[in-house]
Parts: sequence; structure tokens; C-alpha cells
Amino acid sequence: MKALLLKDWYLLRKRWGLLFGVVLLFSVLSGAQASMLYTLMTTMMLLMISLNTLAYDQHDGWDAYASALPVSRTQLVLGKYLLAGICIVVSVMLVLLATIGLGDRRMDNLLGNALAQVSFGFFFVACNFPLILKFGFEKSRVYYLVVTGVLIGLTSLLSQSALSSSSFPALPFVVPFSALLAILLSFKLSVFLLKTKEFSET
Amino acid sequence: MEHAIACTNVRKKLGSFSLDLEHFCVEKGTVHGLIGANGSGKTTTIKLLLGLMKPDEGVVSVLSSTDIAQDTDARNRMGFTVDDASVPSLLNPREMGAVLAGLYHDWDDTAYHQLLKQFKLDEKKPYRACSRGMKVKILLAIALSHKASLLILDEPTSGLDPLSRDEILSLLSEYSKDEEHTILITSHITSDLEKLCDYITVLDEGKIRFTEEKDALLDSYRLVRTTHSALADFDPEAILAKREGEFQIELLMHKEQIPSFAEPIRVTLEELVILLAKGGFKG
Repeated sequence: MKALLLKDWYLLRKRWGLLFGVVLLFSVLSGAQASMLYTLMTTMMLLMISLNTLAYDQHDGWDAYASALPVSRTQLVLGKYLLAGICIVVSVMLVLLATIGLGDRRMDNLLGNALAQVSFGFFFVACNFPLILKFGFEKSRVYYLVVTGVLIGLTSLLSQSALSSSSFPALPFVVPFSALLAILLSFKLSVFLLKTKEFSET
Repeated sequence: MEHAIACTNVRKKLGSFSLDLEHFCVEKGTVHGLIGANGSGKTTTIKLLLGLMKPDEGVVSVLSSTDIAQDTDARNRMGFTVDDASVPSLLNPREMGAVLAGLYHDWDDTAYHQLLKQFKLDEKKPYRACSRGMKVKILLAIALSHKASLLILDEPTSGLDPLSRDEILSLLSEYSKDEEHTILITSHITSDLEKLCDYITVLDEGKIRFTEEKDALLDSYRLVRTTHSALADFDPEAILAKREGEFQIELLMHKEQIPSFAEPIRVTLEELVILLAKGGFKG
């Protein structure tokens, strides 16, 4: 598993310096403007990095190569979900640091942001990863953009305190729980898809 | 003799193409060449053996494992190169070594770096910036650096200059000296296979036309050159294939069926495969 993450680290190190700069900018904007849109964009931009490693793998034929290496396909999928998990954690940390650094230390706000980011991140990964594994990054691009738009819109809407606390008090618990369930189901589906995948062409 | 690879009644359909490996075995400790034209099913066979594709029917056994796609232990003992599957193009050989050391149980870092040095490869040059020859050498260095007992190599010498091809063939020849080591190699450069292989299998339109021991195969056929006017002196049934030139005709025949008046010429593997294919593999 460490080796698979190391491979992705080597890719990230070479390719996404600029993207990481954009992530930093979004996290600072998120802290400065207390905007959920920037908060979620921070998470999304970091998740795009993990998504791009999938695209590179497919483009290079590494997905096929790795499937013939002594590593199980479950581990290959787990590696990608772990990387996505790391990206989500990093995005939460960045927003947290930026928010605290810029003076907002309200616990409910910090926690709300973190829950929104984790939920958004989990749904984002849950919806996109199986599709990319099945159809490839290029063919899934349109779907991926639609999912991103819908998720950002929904999460921004749900995170508005008026909506969340008044009309549905259980929302702060239901959404993260649903996100967790979605990512677990997505992981199972991705493992199934990769195990049954045939590399007739890449 | 023990088999490193055994395919029994294997069928795989891919659109209009159908691969049919009724009985295909590679004996342990041998070098086995798989010859065939483009689209004959070589790469599909390799992918079935590596677990990258699943047969529709039949049993594929590799290093005694009948489910190679799930058997990481067996895959640990295999080295491979396969068309359209490769290492990450942004990584350089040094980084690849660090990654693969964490995936192969018996990774030999010293051997890997020694091979890179032997191939005169720049350890810091990204894979995508390497030439076709360099890329093949990197993949071979990987395949040879984890004490694999079976190498499955798909067209490792195609697109390489003669010097690089010779270097690779020498390395594979050295590897095959160990009786525990088996190689299955596909190529349409038959001269490479003639140098290296103990056994030859010819694949044509998804079907195995024959599997033969190379020396016995080359020994049992001969070429005979004759003129158009003298062709009538030959038994038509004994002519397996013919190649007509402006002034003469080349006939492929079994050695024992050549009439005494004709002078037999030793045939190369390439001539043999081409002529047999022309003759519809009737020999």
C-alpha cells in the first residue's frame, strides 16, 4: 500500500505544484470570506489531484501494469481511496488553519466547515471513482463536472444554518452518515469493477 | 515434464475476433516463442496469462495457479512486458525502483541498478522522455530484478535497433540458462526467436497451428528451388507451399519427401513460417 501511495506522491510532486497553489488560495479565501463555496472548492481542487492520478494511470497503462503486479486489485482501489482520504484531510486542515489564522475561532463554524468538507469529499469520491474506473477519465469527464456542480450546490445549500437547523435538525448527522455510507458502497463497487475489468485495450 | 504455463480449451471472444487455445503448454525451464501476424492473438494470449483478461471458457494455469488475477503469490514470481501496459510515464527508473521494491517480495535493488547501469540508462530520466529501446530495457530490468522464475514478454524486441535487440537477446539467453527459469516470448521478428527459443508455437487467426521443438521443426522441412518447367517432376501432394519468382520457384517440403534429383536447402524459421502460412499450414 505504501508503495502505491509513494507512486502517487512522485506524480503529485512533479505535476501539481500550480494546482496546490490554487488550493492554498482557495483555503485563504475560505478563511477570509467565511464562504462555503471557497471551502468546498479547496476540497474539490485537492480531490482533483487524486482524480488526476487516476487519469495518468489510465493514460500510461499503469492500471493494467499494476494489475499484473503482485498487488491485489482491492489494494489498488484502496490506495486510490486512501489518497482521496488524505486529500480531504489536508483540505480540512488548510481551511481550519486559514479560518483560525484569520481570527474566526468559533467551534461550531470550524466543525461545520469540516463536516461539510468531509461529506462533500466523500460524496464526490463516491460518485466519481467507480465511473472513472469503469469508463475511464476521458469518458467520465462530463459526468464528473455535473457531479461537482450538483454537489457544491447541494452542500452550500444544506450548510446554510437556517435550512439545516430549523427545517431538519438531524441534518448535521444525517449528511455525514450518508456520505460515509456512500463512500463505503462506492469502495465496494470500485473493487468489484476493477476485479471484473478486462484490459483488452487501454 | 512440469508446465510453467498450461492452457486447456481456452476460448476468448473479442468482437469478431476469437482466440481458441485448445491445448497450449510451456514447459518449465524452456524458452518458448509465440509467433503470429498482427491480430493473430499473441497479446490476447499474454493478457490471459497475466490475468488482465479472463477466458470465456477453459482453464489458464500459470505457475500452477488457475486464478492468476487473484494470485499475488504467483504474480510475485513472474516478470512481464505487455503491449499497452506500462509504468507511470512521469517517473524515472530510480523512482520506479523505489515503488516496485515495495510491491515485489523479492525485489533485488542491487540487481536492478546493475541492469540499469548495464543498459546505460539514466536513472533520473523520466520514462516518457526515453526512447522505445530505453523503455523496453527499463521494463526488462524490472522483470529481471525480482527473482522471477517465469518471464512473459510481449514483443520485447520490436522497434529496436539491431544492437539493442542483440543486447536484450543475450540477457534473456543468460537468464534462460537457469533450469528453473522459463520464458514465453512473442515476436514477429522470427530471427530473434530462432536464436533464443527451444519451442515455437505458431498462432494464426486466433488458433494454434502447431507447437514444435525448434530444432526438430527446422530439421523436418527443406526448401527446394526449381524452375517452372521442372515443377511437373514433383509430387504435388508433397509440396507444402510454394513461392514463385520470375525465374524460379521455391518449394517447401518435408525433408524425407524431397526427390533425389532435387537439392534441399536448409530453411530459416522466418521462411518456414511464411511459407507454411501461404500453404494454409497444411504441413
